[in-house]
Amino acid sequence: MVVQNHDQKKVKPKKKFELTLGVPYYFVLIVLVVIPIFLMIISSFQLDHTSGIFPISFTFEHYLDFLKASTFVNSMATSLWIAAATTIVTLIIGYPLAYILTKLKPRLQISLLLLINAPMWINMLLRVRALEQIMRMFFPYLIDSIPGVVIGLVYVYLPFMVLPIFAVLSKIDTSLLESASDLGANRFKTILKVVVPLSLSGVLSGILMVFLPAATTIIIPQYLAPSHNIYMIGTLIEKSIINNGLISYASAIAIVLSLVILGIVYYIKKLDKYKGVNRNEAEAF
Amino acid sequence: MKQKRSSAPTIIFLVVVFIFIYAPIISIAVFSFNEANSLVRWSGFTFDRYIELFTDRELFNYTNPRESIVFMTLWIAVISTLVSAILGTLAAIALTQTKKVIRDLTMSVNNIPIVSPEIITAVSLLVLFGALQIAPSYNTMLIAHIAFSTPYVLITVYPKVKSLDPNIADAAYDLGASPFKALLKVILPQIKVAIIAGAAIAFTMSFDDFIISYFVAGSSGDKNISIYLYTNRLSPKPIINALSTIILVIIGGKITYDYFKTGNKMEEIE
Repeated sequence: MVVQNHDQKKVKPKKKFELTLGVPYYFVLIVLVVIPIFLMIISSFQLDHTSGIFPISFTFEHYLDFLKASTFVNSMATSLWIAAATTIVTLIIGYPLAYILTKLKPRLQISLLLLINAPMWINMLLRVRALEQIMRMFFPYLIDSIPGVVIGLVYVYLPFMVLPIFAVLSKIDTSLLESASDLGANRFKTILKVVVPLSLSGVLSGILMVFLPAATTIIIPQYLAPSHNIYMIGTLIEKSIINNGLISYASAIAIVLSLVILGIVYYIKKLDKYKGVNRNEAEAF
Repeated sequence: MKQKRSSAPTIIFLVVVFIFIYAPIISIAVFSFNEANSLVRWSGFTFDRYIELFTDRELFNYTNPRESIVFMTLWIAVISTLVSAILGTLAAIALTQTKKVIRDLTMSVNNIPIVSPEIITAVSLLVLFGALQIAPSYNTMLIAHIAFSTPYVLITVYPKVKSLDPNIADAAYDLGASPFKALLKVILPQIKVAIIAGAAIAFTMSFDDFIISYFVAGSSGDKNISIYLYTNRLSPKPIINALSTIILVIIGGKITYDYFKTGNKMEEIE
């Protein structure tokens, strides 16, 4: 009994001390993540250009505006369509690239993976500017065109597609491929019926990691389509805030954009019907 | 049977992809040595751009670092990395002890800035600073950087803390260590590598950040390197190529170093 009491006394202050360590961060999360989201929602129902700390007004004006004005609908459609094209192109380049990488010798594999990763550590503006320079030199007709913007997005976001696909492909048990060929499947059929379904979770997370930043980009159209003939949703938010100071209007755009994104994420997550394959792994952790 | 050697189409595919990735980066470096002010036409080799770069008052102001874009970018990156590394590590330690409800809730809120597109985080922080009537400046930029870096530190450090053997810390307490001493001498040394990894992510995110910095501080005239690059995009100055090349060399050096480190480790395993 005495020993047990002694133990409890020791454990209590320790646990209490460790629990208090999280308090500063909970404060940061509440003030800098949770409250801003609520303020953004409140702001989206306010009129712009009213003064005071908490201007009290209530309006659906911004949301109704989206239905009336074509700028919002058009830029949203352009963004989604450009992001979809980017995702498809990165998938077409990224999947074979990841597949080839898994077949290489370990040393070469690590070098090439590092070379694919390395640009992600470089400032995105520098890379896009570099690409703009190359385009102006060799392919001037791509400037101010949708293919040019898509190429820019592929250039920046390709690693986000390659890495998750590589991660799942490199974990596939090779004995599965051997048994497929033993059972009479040719190489093409093995890839289609065994490799692709097993790598689906990597493909879907790659799709999300490319689609979302591509749809909300500001930088790429500004550099590669400087004459503003391609108007994406990021440009619309930037223009509303930086040039016109329409913060409430921009908040309303951001909220509609978040809802669209949530819908897309939900739909793509639902597609992952093979997630059972990786369940064993999740349990192992 | 299985092919051992890579086929010609495979090699061509790899070469084309790597040219696509690296040609622009190499061209930036090459044109930083161009004698003419052009980014398209080559006319001769010179180091002038580098001299111009280090004497540029806007980028490097040696007498008044508060006015210097490069120094302020580094300063914000260092401070936000320090603060987010401390906050994130302490929170990771606390989370292993809390109730599951609080842990799950914290983790979901922690994921919001990681998952949501930068532009949405940027608008929400802008609205926050507007409502609190905090004028945009380097201070709002610093606060915003702490807000988006700490979640990455937490998700990097938390799995490591979770994997620690609790008996080791308990042993320290039994031997009479105070909770603070146990944290400093027993827990932190075990998770050091994860903290450094988290801090490296935080530093790069802060150093390279554009959208969030631009929204929360852009209107004040206080610029980091990204905002400087962006606002000068229509009148491309060749000194930017020199600046880019220096950044490229530093990052390239770091990556090469990592490569040889992992390479040596692989050989040890073999």
